[in-house]
Amino acid sequence: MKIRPHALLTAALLACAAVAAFASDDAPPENSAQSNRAIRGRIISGPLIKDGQPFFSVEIMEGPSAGQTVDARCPERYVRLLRAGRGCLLRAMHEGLVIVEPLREGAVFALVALLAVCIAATMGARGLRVLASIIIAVLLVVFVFLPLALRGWPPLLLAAITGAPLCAGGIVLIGGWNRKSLHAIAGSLCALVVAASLPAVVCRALALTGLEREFGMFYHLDVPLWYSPALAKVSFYQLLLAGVVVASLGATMDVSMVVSTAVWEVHRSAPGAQRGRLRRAGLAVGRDILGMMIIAILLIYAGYQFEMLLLFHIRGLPYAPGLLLNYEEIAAEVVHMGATAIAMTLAVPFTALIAARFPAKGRLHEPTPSVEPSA
Amino acid sequence: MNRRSLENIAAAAAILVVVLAAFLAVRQTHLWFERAEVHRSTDVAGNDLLAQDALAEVVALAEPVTDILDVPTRTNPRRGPAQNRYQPVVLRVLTGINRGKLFLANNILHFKPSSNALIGKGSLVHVSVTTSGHGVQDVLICKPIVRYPLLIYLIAGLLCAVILFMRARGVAFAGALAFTVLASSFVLFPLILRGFSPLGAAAIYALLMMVMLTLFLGGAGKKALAAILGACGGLIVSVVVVLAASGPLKLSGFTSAFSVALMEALGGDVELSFVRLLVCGTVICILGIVLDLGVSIASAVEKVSMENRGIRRSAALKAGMRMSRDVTGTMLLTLIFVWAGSELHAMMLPRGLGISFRELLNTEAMAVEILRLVAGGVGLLATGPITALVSVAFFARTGHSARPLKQVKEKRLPAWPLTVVICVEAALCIVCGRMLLKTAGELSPASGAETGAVITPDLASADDYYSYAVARLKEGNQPRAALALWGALALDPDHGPAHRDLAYLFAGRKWFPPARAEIDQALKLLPDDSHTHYIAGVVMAWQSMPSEAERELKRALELDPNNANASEALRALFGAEADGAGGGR
Repeated sequence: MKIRPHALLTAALLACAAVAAFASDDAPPENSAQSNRAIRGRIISGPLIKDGQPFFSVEIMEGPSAGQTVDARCPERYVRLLRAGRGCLLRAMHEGLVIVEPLREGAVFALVALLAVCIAATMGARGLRVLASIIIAVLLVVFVFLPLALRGWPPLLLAAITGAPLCAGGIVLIGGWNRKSLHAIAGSLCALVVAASLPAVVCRALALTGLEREFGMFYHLDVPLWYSPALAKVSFYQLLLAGVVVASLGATMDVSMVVSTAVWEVHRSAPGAQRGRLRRAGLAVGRDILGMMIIAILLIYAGYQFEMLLLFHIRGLPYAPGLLLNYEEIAAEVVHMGATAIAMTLAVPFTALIAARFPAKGRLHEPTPSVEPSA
Repeated sequence: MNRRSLENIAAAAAILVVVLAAFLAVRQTHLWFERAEVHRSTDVAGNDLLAQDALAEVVALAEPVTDILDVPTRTNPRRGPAQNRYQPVVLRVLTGINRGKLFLANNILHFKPSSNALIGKGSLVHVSVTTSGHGVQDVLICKPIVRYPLLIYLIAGLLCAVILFMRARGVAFAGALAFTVLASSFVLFPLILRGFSPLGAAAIYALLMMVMLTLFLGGAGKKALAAILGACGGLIVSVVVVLAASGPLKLSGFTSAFSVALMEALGGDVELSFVRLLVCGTVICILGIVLDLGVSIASAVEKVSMENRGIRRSAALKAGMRMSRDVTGTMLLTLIFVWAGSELHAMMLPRGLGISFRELLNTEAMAVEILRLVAGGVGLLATGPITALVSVAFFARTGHSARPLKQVKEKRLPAWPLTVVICVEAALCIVCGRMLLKTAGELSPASGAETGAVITPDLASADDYYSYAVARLKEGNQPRAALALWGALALDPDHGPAHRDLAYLFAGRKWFPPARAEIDQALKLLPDDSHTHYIAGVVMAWQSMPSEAERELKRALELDPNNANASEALRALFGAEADGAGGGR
């Protein structure tokens, strides 16, 4: 097997980033005396009821007190889920050690590994490329986007800096390094520029802040984010727009790839075809797939926010449904969906135009059954 | 009339329907205000009060007013500076029993951004107006701000643009979209709310959606059936993953504020209901994407089988699997990027809360998000092979292929531009990774003097930070003031005035335990400072500790008889007793 230089470089990049990731994870701050990070423990026995509250006997697994056995208070919701031998995270509170979470990292890593194995098993060598593009995406977000955003760089600019290589890398890794992929990259990037600029205007008009989002037990993230001195330089409004760009990336790449492939297929079957015919073929395929893709994106958002939608459905019944759109959580999701739909729609004409203007110069073999990616 | 004209007419009709629907949606919400229920009550004097929600328009407004010395009162000791910045506005009510009347109201401005939206002339606001026979009692401007008319018209504009672009297909798309919204509102949600199992409701909804979507967008026939069967296979796989992983992930159901509120609203066994709702959400999440993939693969296998009559089943299966590999990669990335874009703000949480990424990973919320993503991904990956198998059974016949299928390879471009891009990316990753390592120490909320440096690098001493904080407080910019006070304390942990003002800020936000800790520290550091005792009195009063509050306020007056704030607070809180105290000073 011939090893290509960019494959080697990609492997080197992944290795460097993996080393950096391991080095940076959980690096304690300089002034560790004041830090109060959670530490890992293992349940020895319990629960015991003291003063009406459940306690577990826990062995501390890390830090200066490693090996010691202490009694830690457990929130009632976790009492049924914990038993001897299971791991947990502990934190020192003013009333003593408290179990903050059961240890889930093993199961989470196993889930991620399951996804990786399934990708490799069902997609073969192409699956490895998909995995590589996912890992690169994670590395770019964790090692480029986050540190620069924390230093006050505009998140929208960072989304452009990280989004462009993500888009290009994803398409090249999945579609190969050829002119067809270049067309898809160019079409996607053009669509993403417009998709990022339109919400910038819309979000301002809607007075969205980027902070009224929920996560975990926070109804609104302004409590931990806006008031935090460590995040004083972060523009959360732009972070919302950056989220729009990142969310649009995958769908736009998908549509661009399909349109670019369709134009290439037509060009391959009729090498003398005029640009107009190629463009029309690309647009026709784009129109075919767009409806299903937009509804698929809508359902992805609805699925991710299912609990919120159901809750609003229950609570919203006494009110007019339109009033729910006043809430930033809903409005931001609608803007996300709308921007993704715009990016996908624009990716079709952009990619068709570019692919028809600069048709691929493939070395054509004998005709093969045309396998078009959509009905 | 040719086909193109018919297509254009159909698209124009669909656009008209969308515009009308948007207009009706806005009108319907206005009508809700028009018919909003009137709540009747009586005040302490026995007067009848009528309260109604209404839509109002801003006709005049003033600049925001900052009233930072808003002292607590006897009737409401917790009233504090959290509501001390407001924008006076004149409103004309547009709906309900007060239609056409003008009212004066205050747009309350808190220091969190979402509650700090300034209103402009002509803005629509949601108000709650309480009136009595003697006139207006109270006009409350409700938050969040009114967004729905603009948002509804934007959605309609977007749909019109898509329909215009898709022409005849746009009509089918509009129909499918309307069906999706209606099926969710009138089938899925009502079924769950009536106590139907979320798993059963999800199965009914998924089947209904798949049949209708393939009819609208993919066409009927064997191909659609193969796609639906393949998609069902993918959905079943993802459901199995969710059910199997929910145990090891130790899910309690207390995943998010929404899930807790939802469980309370639905009742029953929290843990069980939660896992079932999680399954339901996952099914909806990947429903569209697996169906899209199923239709693509079924079409491909059908086309291959049609063009190669007598093709071997294994060859047709190979073609289907190859197609699956081609399409699944980008679809998987679509799923992952939508997830990442929605969760970008959560990536800031470790810095905001001063926790590690590992702790974030161990939280139930993040574990559930990852489970949803992985289950969706695995379901998507399973859809391809299942659809290929079903399609082969439907379309390929046993026999010998006349022409073996070959894959066409494109000419590769030179590798050097890609190599350069990857090198630049690698360098960027390494440089920024190092920056992250440095940042971890610098920007932690608990780390030392650098905490203050995030405000402005020009400040050198604790007193500089304190002066900066006082200036920000006068502007009403309390978050920045709090940051500067923290900066001052990072440089000088024994800076009494910083502790004192921080206590005042915390108390204003109803964070009483830290406020108490700060004021205790300030009292230790500044035992003879009248202003510190005055703030301590205010903090105690907000905490409903009247005897301590009175003691501290009296001590403030003993130390400085001219402390007008303490005198006024004492009089407001304790009335005649305060005068007695004042006489004794």
